[in-house]
Amino acid sequence: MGAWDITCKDLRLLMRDRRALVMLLALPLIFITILGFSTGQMAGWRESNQVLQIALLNEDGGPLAQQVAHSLSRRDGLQITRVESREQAQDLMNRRDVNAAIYIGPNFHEQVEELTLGDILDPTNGVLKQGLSKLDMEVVHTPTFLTSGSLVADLVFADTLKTLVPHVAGKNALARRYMDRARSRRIELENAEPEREKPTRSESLPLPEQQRGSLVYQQLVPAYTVLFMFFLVNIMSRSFLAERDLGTLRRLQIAPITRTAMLTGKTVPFLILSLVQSSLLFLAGRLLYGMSWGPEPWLLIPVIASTSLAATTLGLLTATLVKSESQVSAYANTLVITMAGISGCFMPRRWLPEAMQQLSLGTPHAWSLIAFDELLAREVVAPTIVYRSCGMLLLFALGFFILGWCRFRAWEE
Amino acid sequence: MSLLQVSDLRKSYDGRLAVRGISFQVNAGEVVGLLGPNGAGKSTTMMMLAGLLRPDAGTIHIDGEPFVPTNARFRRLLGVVPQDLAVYPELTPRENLTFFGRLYGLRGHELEARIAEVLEQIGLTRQADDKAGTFSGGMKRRLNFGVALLHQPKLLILDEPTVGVDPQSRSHLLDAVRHISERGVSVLYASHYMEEVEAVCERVIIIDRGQIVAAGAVRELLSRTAGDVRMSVDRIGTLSERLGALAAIETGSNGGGTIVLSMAETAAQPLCQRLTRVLSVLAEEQIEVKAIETREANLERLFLELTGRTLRD
Repeated sequence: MGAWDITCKDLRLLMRDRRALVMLLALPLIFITILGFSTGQMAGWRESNQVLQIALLNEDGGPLAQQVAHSLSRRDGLQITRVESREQAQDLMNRRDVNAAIYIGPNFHEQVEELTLGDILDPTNGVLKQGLSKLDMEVVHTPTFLTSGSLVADLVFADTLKTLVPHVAGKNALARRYMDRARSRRIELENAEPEREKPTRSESLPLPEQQRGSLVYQQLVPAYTVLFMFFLVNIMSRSFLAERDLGTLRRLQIAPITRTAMLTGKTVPFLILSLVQSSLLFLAGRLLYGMSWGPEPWLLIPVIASTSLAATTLGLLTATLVKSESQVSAYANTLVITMAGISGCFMPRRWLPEAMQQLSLGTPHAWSLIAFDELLAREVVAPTIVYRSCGMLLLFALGFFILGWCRFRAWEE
Repeated sequence: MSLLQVSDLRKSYDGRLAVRGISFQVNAGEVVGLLGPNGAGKSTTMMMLAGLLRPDAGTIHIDGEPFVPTNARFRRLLGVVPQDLAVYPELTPRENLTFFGRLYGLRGHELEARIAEVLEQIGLTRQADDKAGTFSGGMKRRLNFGVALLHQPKLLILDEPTVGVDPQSRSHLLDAVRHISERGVSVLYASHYMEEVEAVCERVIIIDRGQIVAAGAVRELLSRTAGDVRMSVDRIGTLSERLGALAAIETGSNGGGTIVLSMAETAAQPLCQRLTRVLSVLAEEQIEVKAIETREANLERLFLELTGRTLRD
């Protein structure tokens, strides 16, 4: 019962320490929001920044040109803006509102009608070797878009050919027969409605767009949740120091409770706080930032719990090592920030060099991030990876608690 | 029967001996003072008795059994008032008492009744729900004292319980000590304020530099020293030769000094005769007496005589 009494007392003291509560609960939210906004634009994670902005001018206006324009507008990665004139397209490029412009000239239809099946089947050697210009089409781009400009031109060329193939092939009797047969087979397959195979893990990367939520927060929320969970080390150390400075630690030491009960009682309030903090951050991530909890949201619970345990027991160990407030500021903060930096809290783990990724496995942060990545960034979760990470986090927690217990005993004596 | 028996207790820090073989006992219901200047070894002794420090040598028996600090039974027998204000300033006295009471296994109505009783005892009933951090030093000391009383210990260890408190709170605390000793609780009272020790203790142990220099009942210890009559004069002249062994002469500045007549019963002549003789010599020498004062025998004087130092050194 002694441990629970200490827990209740510390929770009551924490509730009255508004500054600490703000630091633990509001600060991470503010931090994630600010970083979400800023890095979202800088790193190109915002969805609108991930697509190419293209202006499209259809001067032909015929059905085939419409078909080409429609096909291009449905391409992933392209955001098509219809314009009325070349001047308007140029103006958009000058203002950097679009990266490139596609012009479908007034002679497009006539040029297409001149094509034969052979031109389509061998575009590199036939009349189409001149590229889009043979179809009275043109792709222009801004000077800053030099490298990607030719890629866009190739993409437009390929997409246009794909659209034109049925039309040009339809003019050939033999090709028309094959096309009819292929259409019938497709209808048969569609009617049969075969059961979709569940994607395997290797082909499931990454999570589909509709389940992915906001990409920035999908990365930021778990990373900064882990970072701030371990910032408890600072507040726990200060709590121990305060207890020692007040002299109340001596009162606890002479009370009829065991050392284990006392240390457990001092640890549990921060564990509860950590659980509340991380749950709130994930909830805010979902409600405010539109992040997804992944296909197996219930698995977040053991990961959050084991990470909290590792964080609070590390706090306990640190509390027995520091002797003053200035040591808390110097050592505890350095420890937390270094571990966060090594493990990949500040940038996605896959961006870290291989050696650093291996080194980071010596931190609890890394195991937590691995588990969160598995849960939040995959279409199909591999439970063994999550369980292994939780196991490692629990081992860290056990190790930290035992070391803290031994340090405390040595410190008492 | 003695509730606390201490034998040849020793403790050193980094090779420096803080306690050098202290032995004493405290009987049930007795208030024993541990008197000594700062650094004499009082707090170290108290911490060993509270189980917070492990002695290098020596034994401690409580209630007839060897003291095992980790044993909860012994911890319940002890009530400790540390020198620090060991209470939570963010909690109210009621919350502080509730927390510590629960640690000692008190629950429900029993706990509530004890809290009410202790609040009354320490005079904080009206402030029971105010934050302790807003209290004066004296009120915090009273709360610090109350926490140790809550679980009704058989032996109360008080380490400088009145440091920095106002006279009203000091008087309140001393009354409370007398009150609980009347209920049969043994008290070990460490202080460097000899007035307090004289006021509440039946027996006194005087320690200096980690050793006991005197121990016994207050009356007995006081009988080992004596008061004196001190006469300040404007010049000394040939007083030393004329008064001889009748009185001691302390030379002051500007040729003046002080004539000191001991009130010890062991002196060669009664005080009255010696005083008459001194006054007649002063009249003959036409030396003017500027002031006369008497100093009573007290533990401070005894300590000075025993160690050559004052308690506040």
